[in-house]
Amino acid sequence: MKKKNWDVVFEKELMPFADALKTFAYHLTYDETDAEDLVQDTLLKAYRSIERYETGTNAKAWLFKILKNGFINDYRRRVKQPSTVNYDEIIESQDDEDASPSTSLVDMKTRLVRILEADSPADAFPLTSHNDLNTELFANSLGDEVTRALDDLAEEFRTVILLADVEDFTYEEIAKILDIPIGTVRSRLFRARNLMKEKLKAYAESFGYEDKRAQ
Amino acid sequence: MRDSKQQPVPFIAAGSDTAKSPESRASMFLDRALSKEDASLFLQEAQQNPALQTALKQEESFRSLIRNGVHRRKASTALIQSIKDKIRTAPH
Repeated sequence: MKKKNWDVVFEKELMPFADALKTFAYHLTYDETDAEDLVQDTLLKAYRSIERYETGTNAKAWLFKILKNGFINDYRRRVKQPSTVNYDEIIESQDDEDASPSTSLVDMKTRLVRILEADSPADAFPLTSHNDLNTELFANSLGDEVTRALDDLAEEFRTVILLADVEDFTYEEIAKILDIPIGTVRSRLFRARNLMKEKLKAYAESFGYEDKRAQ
Repeated sequence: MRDSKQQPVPFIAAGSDTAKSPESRASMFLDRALSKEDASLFLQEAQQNPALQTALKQEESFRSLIRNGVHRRKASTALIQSIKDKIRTAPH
């Protein structure tokens, strides 16, 4: 197949999973930028070995496996490295700040002029990415409890919940993605769901779920 | 990765008491971990067994709580564009 055709396959069959990959990556790294880096690495790795991909087969499971391996081999190794500090850069940056003590005053004056000249504060300061993030957080507050409960789980439990209950993978697919036996998938899921149920008991009850496991 | 058929998991795992509980059976049914025959048997039994019915409903609402409650992330347009740019120039 020619490059042009592989590019079409990539865009049609692999790129549509970018959002799902991002969700998985985010709940592994808890960081927006790291999650996007992981998704990009995953999709580029997939593109480089796209000749091994058979069109119409399980692209989603294949991509999730690449992402999970990238997380373990590249990301986790990288974040475990002790960070090094460049003292020269810190000193230079401190020198710059000392050289312009009035910067924050200039900033304040500029902001004040913009507010006075604008029809409304919103016109003066259109939504920045930070404001967008706050709006998004507010809009998503209903799912906060579930997300918090998930993010509190240990990685091995969080991963199986994400794969099974959020992404709808089967036991066998999860076993292949995580390189663990099906029996381990089942037992991890069982424990992970019980932990989620414990954490969400009160919240779930308000949605009509009754915990009768102990009855 | 090649797509392959899901291997049915035994309806009641040997030596496992938890596998016999209504919750466990409902869970395996929803996980598509039962063979066609076992799934059909489960549904038939659930119609006549209130405990099994309750377990199934509870498990369904729990799954739906997770599915709908977990915050989904969206790949930014900058990310998508960056990937497209990189593959455009990548040799193959």
